[in-house]
Amino acid sequence: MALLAYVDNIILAGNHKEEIDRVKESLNKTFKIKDLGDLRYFLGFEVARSKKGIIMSQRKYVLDLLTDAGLLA
Amino acid sequence: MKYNCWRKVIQCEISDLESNQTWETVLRPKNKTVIGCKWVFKIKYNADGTVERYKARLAAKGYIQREGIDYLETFSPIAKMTTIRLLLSLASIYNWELKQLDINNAFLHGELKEDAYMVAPPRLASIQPRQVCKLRKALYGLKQVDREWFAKLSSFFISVGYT
Repeated sequence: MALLAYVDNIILAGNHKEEIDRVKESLNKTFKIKDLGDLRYFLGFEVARSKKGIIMSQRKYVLDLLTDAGLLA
Repeated sequence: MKYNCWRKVIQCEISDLESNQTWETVLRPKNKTVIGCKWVFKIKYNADGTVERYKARLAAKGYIQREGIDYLETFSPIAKMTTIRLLLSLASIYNWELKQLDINNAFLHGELKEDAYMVAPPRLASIQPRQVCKLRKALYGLKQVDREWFAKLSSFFISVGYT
């Protein structure tokens, strides 16, 4: 199993579901976590999954940025 | 009254901080930096534009802390985008599950190594005149909190047997 931490955002990856759940459980006991389920949106990029692979995109990030800058108004 | 929602979240946040034993109240020390603090307010919206919640967070004015006196180290590692892409590639190749989670109030778990004193937040009930808050736990805004949080997180993983 692999774990990636970006300050308080954490990705858990692995082929052993029970192990992932165990880590979640012990993290929750010690720190209290918000379980966000499948990886969807992390550090501004969207993650979509299909049988063929994984797509990463910053579409939402760019749109939010344009909205903030008032370029979509 | 209109501002009651903010009063309520401030009260909640204070009691959370107190039950977390973030500080103890002590007489104001001489010749020590006493850090100011302020409330930071934010309204969180749902995707449909309705209010999700009102959020109040007490932040220390860490900009007054002096390197080498009030704090020593601040470096804290974070994941590079390349590393994240590598992990996703592996997940794709080996068909791994990908799950994500957030740690609630991560920084508040960090423990302070250095002494830090903070002016009490306005109208703190448990404070006497001439007293300040001596911080035991990290608070948003302090220079060393990122590092202390990472130290806490990595020692947690080591303690449960991950390397």
